[in-house]
Amino acid sequence: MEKQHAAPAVQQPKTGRHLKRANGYFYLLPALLLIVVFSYIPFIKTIFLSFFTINSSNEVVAFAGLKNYLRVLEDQEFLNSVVNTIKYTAVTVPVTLILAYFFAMLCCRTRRLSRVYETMLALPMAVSMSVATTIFNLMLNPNIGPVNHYLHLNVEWLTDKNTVIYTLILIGIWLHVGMAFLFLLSAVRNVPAELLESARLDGAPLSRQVISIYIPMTSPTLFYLLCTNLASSMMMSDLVIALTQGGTSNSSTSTIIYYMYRKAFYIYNYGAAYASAVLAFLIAFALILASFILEKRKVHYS
Amino acid sequence: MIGNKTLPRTSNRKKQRTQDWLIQLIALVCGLIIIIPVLYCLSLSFMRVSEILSRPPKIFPGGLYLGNYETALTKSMIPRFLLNSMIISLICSIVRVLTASLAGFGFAFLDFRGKNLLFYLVLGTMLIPGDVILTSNYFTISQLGLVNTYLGIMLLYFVSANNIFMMRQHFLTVSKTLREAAQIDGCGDLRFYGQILLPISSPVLVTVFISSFISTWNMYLWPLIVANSSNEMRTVQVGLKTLNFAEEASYGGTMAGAMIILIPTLLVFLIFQRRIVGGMSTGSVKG
Repeated sequence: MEKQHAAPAVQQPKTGRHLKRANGYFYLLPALLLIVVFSYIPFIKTIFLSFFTINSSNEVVAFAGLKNYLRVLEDQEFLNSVVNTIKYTAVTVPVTLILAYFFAMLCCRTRRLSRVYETMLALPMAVSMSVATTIFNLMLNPNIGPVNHYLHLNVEWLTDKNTVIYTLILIGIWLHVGMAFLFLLSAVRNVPAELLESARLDGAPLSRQVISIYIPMTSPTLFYLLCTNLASSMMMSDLVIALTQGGTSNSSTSTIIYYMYRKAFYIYNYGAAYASAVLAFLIAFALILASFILEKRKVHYS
Repeated sequence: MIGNKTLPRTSNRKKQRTQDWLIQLIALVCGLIIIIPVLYCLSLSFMRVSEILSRPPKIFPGGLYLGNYETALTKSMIPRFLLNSMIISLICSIVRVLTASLAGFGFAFLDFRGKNLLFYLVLGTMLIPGDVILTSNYFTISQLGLVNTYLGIMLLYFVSANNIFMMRQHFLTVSKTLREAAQIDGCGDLRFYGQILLPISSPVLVTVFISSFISTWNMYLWPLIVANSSNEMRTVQVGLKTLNFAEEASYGGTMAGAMIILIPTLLVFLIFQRRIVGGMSTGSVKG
């Protein structure tokens, strides 16, 4: 009896395996379908259409070659947007990471009030861009806001063309520091205790410990944060839209994606929108590629 | 700890203790500076107009004036915006958990041709920033007739490569023998997935759910574009920027509105703070 039972049991995996093969695709289908339709196809379409002249009803009129690109690259507004985007990224990303690292080192050892200040330092991560800009808008208001009054400043945070970009940077840092802090905190706490102990016995000062133990040991997390922050900063546009209501007449606060958004949804110049989108992608991609080269040389995986 | 043995002197220990308190103090001050904007918003939401406009600017409200909340909830579209955002975030997060766990299961447990290629195809989307393909996606949604609809806002967010990766990494840690045992008992793949794998993975599912909830609740540009011509379909984040109160209530009402919108994510954050980071870092750093 038992032997008869065993025979089909051995055979089952064989017939099952064919089923399983088809099965695999079945489980992936929903995810893959969405990914192809809403990531790859639009990506290819964006690149493809950037080489065509497109009318304001989004219909292809003629092949344009590089004309869209040349027109965008000659546009002073676009060049300003590139400068603003790079300025924003070049300040926001390093300051966020350094500040978050400082906070993480400060909170590294668990102390009595750890829970309290850790929660406070991480809190901005729960706040949306929209809520944050609403609050900062009022805080930085030169007439009724407390910032200028209590810091004895006289800054036109939101209207002065040369200052607005720094206001954007300030809010950008505030929005991103909480998440970076939480990641770095868990990274810093995972640095092996024996390494630190031996460094302490050798009498290495804290600055030395940070440079030769903490930073190398936390470099994977730092690298991850560098990449994600670089990517999101290079694509920043929502802050501009929400804070300066577009600043539609001037390009003093425009970023690359904001330029694209304006060309597509206000001016209906889709050729320029697609071309600037591709350029935004290329610039961001080059930066991330550069950080991967940095990773090969500097990041230490245990 | 070893530290106690190597520091036998009381003076040293005292020094250590004062240093401890000093560090806590600095951390608290930094924390306070960081949360000033939120405290400011909270404080203003309880102020009367005269207090908000007073010079010098007041920091604390004179009392717990609830009029701003009343205005925000009765004289604006905020309740409708809240409903929209709740529907969108809940459905998006549930669907994301489903698509991610199904795909994660496929990648972790099943064998089929082209699996690695498909896996790289999924990861590759992380290199395509959503903003770059915004215009193109808008036309897809518009061709499907989904402008100004919930589905139009949600469809793009039904899947996240990051979540799939997280689920796969987690499922890889689940013992293969568990599945073999289930198979011997005659349990098919779908039943194994639904009745064994999902229940034992609930911590990761919760992490995926919560991180999706926060990110969809907070999204801005996409709902702004898709629901551009219908005030009724706006999400809270977009709606907050369009609030139009009668002049005397404008600042207080907006701040109360901002506070109301902040509460759901703030609660989720306070309850699940640690879990979110734990889940995200296993999904990203361990690669």
